[in-house]
Amino acid sequence: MSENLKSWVANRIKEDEIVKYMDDDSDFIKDDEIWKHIKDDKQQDPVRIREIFEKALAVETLSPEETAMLINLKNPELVEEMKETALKIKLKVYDNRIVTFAPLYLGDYCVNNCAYCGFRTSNTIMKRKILSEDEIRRETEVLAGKIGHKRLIVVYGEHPLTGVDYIENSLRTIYGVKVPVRKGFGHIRRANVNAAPLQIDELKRLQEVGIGTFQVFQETYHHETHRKVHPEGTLKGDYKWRLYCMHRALEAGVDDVGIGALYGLYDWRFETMALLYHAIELEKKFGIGPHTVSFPRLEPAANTPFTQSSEYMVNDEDFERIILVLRLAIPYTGMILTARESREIRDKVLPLGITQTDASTRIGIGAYSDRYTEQELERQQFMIGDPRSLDELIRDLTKMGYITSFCTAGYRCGRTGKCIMDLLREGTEGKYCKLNAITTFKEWLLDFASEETAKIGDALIKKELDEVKTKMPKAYNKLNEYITRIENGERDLYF
Amino acid sequence: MVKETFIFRECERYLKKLHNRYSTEGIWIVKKYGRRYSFVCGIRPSGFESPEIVKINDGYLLFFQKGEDLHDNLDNVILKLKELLDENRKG
Ligand code: SF4
Repeated sequence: MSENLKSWVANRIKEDEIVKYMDDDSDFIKDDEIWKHIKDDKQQDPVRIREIFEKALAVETLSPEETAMLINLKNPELVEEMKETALKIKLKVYDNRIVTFAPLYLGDYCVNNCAYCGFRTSNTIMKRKILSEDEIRRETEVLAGKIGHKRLIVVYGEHPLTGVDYIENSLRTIYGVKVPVRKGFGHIRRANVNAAPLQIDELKRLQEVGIGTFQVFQETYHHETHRKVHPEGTLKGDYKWRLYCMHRALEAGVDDVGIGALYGLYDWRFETMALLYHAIELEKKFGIGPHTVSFPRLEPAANTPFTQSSEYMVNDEDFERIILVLRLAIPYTGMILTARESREIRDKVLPLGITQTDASTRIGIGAYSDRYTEQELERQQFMIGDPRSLDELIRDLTKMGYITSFCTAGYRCGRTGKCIMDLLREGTEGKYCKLNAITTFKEWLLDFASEETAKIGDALIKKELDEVKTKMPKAYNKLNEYITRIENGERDLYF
Repeated sequence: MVKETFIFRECERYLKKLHNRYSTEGIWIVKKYGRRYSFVCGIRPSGFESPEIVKINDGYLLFFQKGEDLHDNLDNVILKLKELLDENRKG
């Protein structure tokens, strides 16, 4: 590592921006306590379990004890009921809409050396690249102008070349792109950010640009495993700097935060409990829980044997349980399922409470506007499992009865942070979700859909309008007015 | 931060009064950051009409749904909110 790089690394972590949030000498992830809950395999009294289902249905965060009981639940009849409850919660909080987005990787330089990642600094076979302003613009033009995405998760490695100046500028570039399409114009309305932990002042700068959600995944919450897979002396090796990043974000005013764990590094039961601990801690300190939770599974990466040999790989059955438990334990949160997973798995677990997913996904640097269409492992962090285009995914979702939403209304009329938390808990946001799903879906059908998708999409919209007429008569006239205006070429009308 | 929370609580109390007096379906303050409008305080929206948006100052905006009569007194309302938010800045 060059001297410049070393000194950059040495100045990243601000101890005072960790300790100020700590209640005592240790952080809020209590490994022993978590294991005690998991191992304390209580008698699974159906009455108690059903009480837990009811609590989750009332959109109340579960306790660690209750969550551990769901993790350990074996009674097949109750497991079926848990699935039904998960779907009911999803419908109550978010209705039948699925939000879609695309990941946009801007660079793969990284100073860290995580054992499981193809981007790690010691992986010399990677073809490294950072997108220039022009290249970012080109990528965004494809995403917003050809595919029709409105929402991105922009991904940055941890490196001075992709530090906060770069992040800020790239977001301005992305937001600045406007492309004429069939009837209206395409642009990105919400750019979420997945980046390394930042300092409070840096987070304030991102807030000023108007980021959507700020995501940082702890990867593994288990202290010892964290030490093992993130070498000492690297930035990522500092467990607490990463753990308290969302505290800093919320203090900086970034009030939509996303947490996550990379499943496959350690026992899935522990990671699931730890995600709940993280949510409870944020609720306690800021009154705002995670806006989203992600639960990616470890995938093969170029020249990265760890990804093939971990003893904690999660099978499909356990993966289902993770989603179910998270849906019930943190009932208000958005749950993101990505195209890492195969089409079969995505179709199977979607009804368990997923709220967001990606499509037309490419994770190679510059891959959306590039000539190449095949996945190249030397250019991306891992392999994609579901290559469906947005049009195909939407068609499939429509057949399953889901309405695809491109809604970004919440964060453009102040329904953020504590406000959206409360609206989600009381079931009001779900109503806005439904209405905005219909208007944004209509826009997308007019501007981007293939003939086949437009046909079944319009049939779904008709059905949805009928539902609104009976269930939300007060909103019906306004919605109808919006649909007519959208058909006449207006865009970006929202509730 | 403590001071800020206090001021926002003051704003919130004032917005609550307005909400009751003018029967709004929600009245809240947001701060604008680029494309993002972050919730600051107030009574959460509950209706489906597009909210009216009025500038207060320094990127702060007032949103309200319904409450038609509020218009007659809007200048005073904005003045009062400005004062409260200014207090916040001085703090
Ligand atoms: S996981 Fe993230 S931090 Fe670790 S090497 Fe990969 S890109 Fe860098």
